[in-house]
Amino acid sequence: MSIDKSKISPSQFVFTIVCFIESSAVLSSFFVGISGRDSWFVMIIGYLVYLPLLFIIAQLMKRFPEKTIIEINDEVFGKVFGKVVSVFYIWFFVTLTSLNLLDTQVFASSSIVQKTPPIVLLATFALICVWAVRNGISVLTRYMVIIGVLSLMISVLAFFFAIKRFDFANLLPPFQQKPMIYVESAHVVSTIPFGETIVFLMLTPNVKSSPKKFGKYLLIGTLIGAASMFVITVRDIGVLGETIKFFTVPSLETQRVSGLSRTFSRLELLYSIIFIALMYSKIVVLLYASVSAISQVLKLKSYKHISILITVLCIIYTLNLYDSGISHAISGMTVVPFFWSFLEYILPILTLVVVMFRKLGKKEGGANDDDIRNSGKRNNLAVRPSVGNQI
Amino acid sequence: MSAVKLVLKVFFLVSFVLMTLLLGGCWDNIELNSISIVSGIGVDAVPDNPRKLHVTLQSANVKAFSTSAGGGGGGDELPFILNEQQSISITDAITAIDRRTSRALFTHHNQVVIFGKDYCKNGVQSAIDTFMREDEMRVETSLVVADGTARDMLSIKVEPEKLASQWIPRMQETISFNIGKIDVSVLDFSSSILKPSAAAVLPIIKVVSTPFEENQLEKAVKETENKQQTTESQSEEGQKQEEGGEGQQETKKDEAGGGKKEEKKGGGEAETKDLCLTGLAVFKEPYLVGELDIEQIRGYRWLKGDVNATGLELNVGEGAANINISNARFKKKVRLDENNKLIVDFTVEADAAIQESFGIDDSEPKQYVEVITKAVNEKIKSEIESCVTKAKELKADIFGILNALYEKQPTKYKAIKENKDEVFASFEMNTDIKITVQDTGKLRKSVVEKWWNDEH
Repeated sequence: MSIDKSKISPSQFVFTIVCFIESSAVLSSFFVGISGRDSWFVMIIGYLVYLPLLFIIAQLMKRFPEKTIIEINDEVFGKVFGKVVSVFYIWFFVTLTSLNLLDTQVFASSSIVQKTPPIVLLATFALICVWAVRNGISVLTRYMVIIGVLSLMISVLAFFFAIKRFDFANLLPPFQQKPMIYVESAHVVSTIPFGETIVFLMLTPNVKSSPKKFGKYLLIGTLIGAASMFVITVRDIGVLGETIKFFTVPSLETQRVSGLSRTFSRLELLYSIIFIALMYSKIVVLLYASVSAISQVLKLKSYKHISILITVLCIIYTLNLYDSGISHAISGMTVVPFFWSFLEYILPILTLVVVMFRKLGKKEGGANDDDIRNSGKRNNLAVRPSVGNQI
Repeated sequence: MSAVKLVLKVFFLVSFVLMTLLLGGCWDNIELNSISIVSGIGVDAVPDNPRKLHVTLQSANVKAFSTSAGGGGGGDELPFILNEQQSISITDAITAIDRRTSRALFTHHNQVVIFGKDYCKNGVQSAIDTFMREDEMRVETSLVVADGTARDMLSIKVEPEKLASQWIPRMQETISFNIGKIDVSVLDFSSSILKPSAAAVLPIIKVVSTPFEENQLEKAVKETENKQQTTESQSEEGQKQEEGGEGQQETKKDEAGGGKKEEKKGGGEAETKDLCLTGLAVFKEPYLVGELDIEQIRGYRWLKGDVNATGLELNVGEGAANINISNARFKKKVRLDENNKLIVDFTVEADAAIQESFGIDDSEPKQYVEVITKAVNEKIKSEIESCVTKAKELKADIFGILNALYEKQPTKYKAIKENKDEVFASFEMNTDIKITVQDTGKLRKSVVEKWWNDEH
């Protein structure tokens, strides 16, 4: 049972997933830098590789609709080993939060405010995020629909702005690279944007929905996110051509060269707006997962008190994660996907195998369960309109 | 909600609003009066020192514009400020210039990068890297080659834009109908040389020495007058020689006088001059290997397939016509035969409208249209052939034929990859031009044909 008792609607849940995936789409250099013009194909393969994980996440959500991944670990692996596994997840969530804070800061430092010290950028951005997190999941996901729809609209609009410079020949010829390139790049795609959705196992008890529909929501959310990512990737390849492999932020360069006329050009402002909004949407979810997971492991009644402390630790962690942007980029393409694979794929598979072996959790969420979840009348799971005061 | 919580919320809200207003750009604030906005960057080779570049930065002189706008006669003020530095790289040169200027150089709004021809011969790779990599530079900035030095081009006044760096982008926009799209950005150039063809073109612009105030017509009239005077004086001389001859000195004085006048108007660093597009510079990888003239430019554009509408001047016998080509459609099929010979089947279909016609027999409309159609076909074909011959000679696939082969038949491209230059230099082209004359303008027949026929 989540220590945040507020509830979110299925549409908020879906758009939180959409924003989560889209935020990775705007930072496509991790896989585009490897697979170049075939990145659109790699993206599809990466998503197909991710689908079994989606099924596992959906199964865990369905079997444990009232539990977060931390509580599932306790039940599946026992109190002691479950805590060990949970510590891995906590490290994963905290590291992901810090990495995304770093991405935001690096983007702002290199493209918008070059002279502003990184600590100022990190602190101000983290302050907004922790403010949202302290108000609970209901408040922090309230704007996801707006951000998600806005970013989809901007992605489509940006495609039209880029049409003048779009050259379909830049996508040709397909499949001319070594097979290992596709394997490596698809691995990055399946772990960095898609695999990270494992974090939504921290939100399960907060979703006001029938357990049977979790899989559907996950599928819709990731499909919309993947479609948006596909459009962005194809647009970037078509506009930048052979040079796409060389840019650190390809989407930003695409927006820079796009425009309808000499007057209506230089549209990187649109990219900057949507980048900051999407990174906010991802970081708040990760930060929320981090602080609520730590609170659950430490058996705290509220995560509110430790949220600022964890955020400060995340900032310090961010400042010490990598010595340079180059190290970050190289690690994102090489080391990180392997670490993440263990946490995103191996552990959930192991969890589900043990669950099935020990016949834990509910096999099917019945109609009665749906009513109970929707009304929130079990285990003190009261749905209350205002969240901030109940944490 | 308790009063304390309400006060706290209001406090946080006010703090955030104040932070947004007051802290925005604490470190990155840029005041307009503290920067010098660079509008053009010139890069030239330094003679006898291939490691160094001569970098010229042109910034608009706001003072000159404001005085002239206010009617305060800013005639003495130059409309631009030039900063120059010789250095091993562009950023190094900018840093050096920054040390001796009161305003920080701001390159984000740079309009054009001009390469001196000599610099291009050694390869433009160092400059391309700077413009692609440096955060403040923009990859959509136009690139051009100066027929001469970039420094000379940036140091003249041009009308009506005043600055060469503003004249060039505007000319590239307006000339697109006449010649086709010639604007090449840093990104386009980089993308082109990374493709299998590895060739690119950049427009060549020349500083024309003819002073602005003295137009071609005046010059022609003067030349005719001078010739007449010379002929008259020669005949007089002949007479005077017979009579004892003194006129020789007078003629020499006249000629010397004319020469001085030219020299005076042509001299001076910021004299108003004209700029003119004279051709396209052909690059193989980042190295300049040759040039295309104006006629070959159009051939290049036909083959690239990005001319939708353009004008054509035709000479038909003694007469001439001007044709407006529109709705152009292109088909380009590239294939390799069994002997690995590259074959290009190129088809152009377009509509034509007659804008001007004289001296061509139009008494029989059907025959007249046939004559015009044939002339248009021949003209387009000759433009294409001229350009293809030049490209073959330079072994530079500026048309992207090898790119097309690689895109459609990558396996066959791999077979010729090692000797692609030779394959390109011997490629065969089958051109099929289908022009349909749709419109003869407001007239069905020329109203002046009678007098033309009388004259000829």
